[in-house]
This record gives sequence, C-alpha cells and structure tokens, in this order.
Amino acid sequence: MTESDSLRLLMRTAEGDAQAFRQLYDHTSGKLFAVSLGMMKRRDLAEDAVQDAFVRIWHNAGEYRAEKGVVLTWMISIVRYRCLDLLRSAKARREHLTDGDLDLADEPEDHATPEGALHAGRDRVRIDECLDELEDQQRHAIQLAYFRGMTHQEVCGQLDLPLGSVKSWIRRGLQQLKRCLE
Amino acid sequence: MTQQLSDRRLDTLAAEYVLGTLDADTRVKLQRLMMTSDRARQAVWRWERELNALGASLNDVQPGPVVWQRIEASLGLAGQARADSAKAEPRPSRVGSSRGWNPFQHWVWPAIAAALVLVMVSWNTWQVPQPAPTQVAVIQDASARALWSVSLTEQDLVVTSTREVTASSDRDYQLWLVAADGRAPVSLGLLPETGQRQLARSALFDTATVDVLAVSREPEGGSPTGQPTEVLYSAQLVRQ
Repeated sequence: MTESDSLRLLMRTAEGDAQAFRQLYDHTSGKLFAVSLGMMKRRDLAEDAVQDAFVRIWHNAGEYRAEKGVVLTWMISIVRYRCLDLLRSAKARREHLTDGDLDLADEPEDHATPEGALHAGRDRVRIDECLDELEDQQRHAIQLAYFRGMTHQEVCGQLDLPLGSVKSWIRRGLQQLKRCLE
Repeated sequence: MTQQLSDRRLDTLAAEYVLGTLDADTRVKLQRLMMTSDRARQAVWRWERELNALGASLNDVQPGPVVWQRIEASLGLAGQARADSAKAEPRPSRVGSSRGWNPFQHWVWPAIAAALVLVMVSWNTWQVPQPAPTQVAVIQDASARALWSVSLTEQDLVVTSTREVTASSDRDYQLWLVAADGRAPVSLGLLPETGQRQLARSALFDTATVDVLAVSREPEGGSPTGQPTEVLYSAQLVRQ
C-alpha cells in the first residue's frame, strides 16, 4: 500500500468511514502487533494494546500531521506509547503487590524469543545505517529500549552494566544517531 | 524545565521520551513543555518519525481475529463497514462530519494554529497564585497533545482544560482514580471542557497508593453505572 493510499484511508477514517478504517486495520495491524508483541511479550497483552491503539486511531485520525512521520510510523507511535503505559502500570503495580497476589508481569511469556531474534526479522531502514555506526553496547541498549520497552534498570540487568553507564550509553548513542540522521 | 533548554538537551530529552526511557517526573515536565513550545513538539515528532521507522521495519505478525471484533464492538461499528461500502471518495473536509460522538470531530484544520496560541494564553492564566500543588499530571491524547492538567493540592484537585478539548453537549469526560491495590476505579468527578474546575480531594489520595488517573467518555452527567464506560486516557501523578 502506498503512502497516499494510507493517507486516503486515514482521511476517510477521520470522517467516520468504517470500511476505510477496516482496510487501514487490515494493512497495518500486522505491523502494530509485531511492535506490541516485542514489548508486551504475551499475545493477549499485545492484542489488548493493539486494540486500544486502534480505538485511539479511530478517534484521533484527524489529529495526524505529516510532521509526525508517514501514517504507519504515526500509528506505531500510538501503539508504542500505549505499550509503554501498560508496562509502566504493570511495573508500578508489581511494586505494591504482596505475596500471593497474581502478577501478570511475572507470568510466563508466550515465546521465549532468543535475544536479537525479534529485531533480526525485519528489513533494514535508514536509521539502521546510523545504528551501525554506534558501539555494539550502545546500539544494543537502544534496541532493547525500543523493541522491548525496557527501562534503564532492565537494560542494565540485561547487559550487565552499571546503571549510570547504561544511561549515558543511551544518551550518547541517541546524540550520535541524531548527528548521523541530519 | 525552561525555555532556556539548549537545543541539544531538548533533543536528547525528546529522543528518550520517544524511546520510553525518561523517568516519570521528566516525562511530565516535557509533556507540559510540549503544551507551549513548538520547538519541543517538533523535537518529539522528529524522533517519532525516525525511531518508529524501526518498528515499521519489523515483519508483520497477525493478531487474532478477536482483536478486530473487539475494536468493532467497542466503537459500535459492527455491520457498518459493509453498509458504508458504496462510499468510495473521501469528502474534501472533515467539517460537518455526521459521526456524532467523536470528541475531535469539530476540529477544523486551520483552527489548530490558532488553538496553539490560545493554549499559550491559557497557560499564562494558570500562573495565577493557587495553593502549591503537591502532585501534578498531564492528560494527553494518543498524539501526545495535552488535554487537561491536573494539580493535586492539600485542599483540592484542580483540573484545567486546554483548548485541545472539544466541548460537546451530549457527553462528558470523567476523571477516575485507579488505585494500585486493584480496587475498582473511584470517580473523582467530571472534567471541565473549558476553563478550570476544582474537584474535591478524595481521601483515597492519602490512604491508597495511586496507580494512575484515568479519563473515560461518558453519557452526559457521568457514568450511569458508577464505573468507567470507555477509558480513553491515563496519566501518572508525579510529585512536584
């Protein structure tokens, strides 16, 4: 589907055209679900996030601005922010749980995805060339935060680095990315 | 956080905001800055554009058919997709859309620039002396557009709408406290669609751990069931 097709479907969605919305869903839900599954790790939670995202897309279709990216990246922003919200509230809840409480976040994941497998199964895009210029740990830290929705603390657990280093790795990595992208 | 932020610092904050690694406190401060600063919004949007190209590069994974069914059910669209099939061409403008309950349907594209100016004006009116808030939250829509700012003081809960909220006579927005202990959401009152409103400070703020504040869309007058009908947004309270 070309960008002008997506834009046309989004504009019709903004006007309340349910059929256009369905077509937009058919063309994009696989991508949004892939993003969501990487972050939420369980299909049911990932499906909840995608559902919430599309409800927001229906309501907010008229809020799209080309400055925010192509239609698909705008939709991915929405599902990612939703996943981040869900992950943060799950983590906040976990901090307040007592023994015996059921914690969704501690339930087994649907797929024990081998490290790197998720972001290996994808096409290379422009930003990848810039990511390639980063040091391995910097790139890895940014990818874990992006694809897994990991916090600084989780990234430092994963990479076995001190918290302060992870924060500055990510910050410096992003600054270097910015210079490369310009 | 002030307008004196260097471009480089603002840009790094924007990048971490989109990446999702900002702490809650800085996240809310940046959200507040985005309400008044075009520079901040542009920085966030630029990173959304760049970073989310990564998500777009993932191979598709199809969600189960139940997802569309639930979307259709929650939006009341069932059957409508077929009924609409004769409609092939987009109408030239969103003005006068017949969909009655989209809170954003009255948005007219050219009004947006004007609204941004009005947000800045209303921002200034917020600076009128009030009891110092102990905690604040900014409620945003999916496009990170600030809709309400919530300030919890020792006495009350002050909610201020931005111009991004579209007033409507046939539904209300209701604010809920979602406690971390898993109890059912507790209503804090109806949100103003223009201006500011003081709500009573629920005793739960002192006795329970607040997970998030949530906003639901309700029929006029508030939830008929005492529970949120359709949750649209949520936001975390952070200490000042």
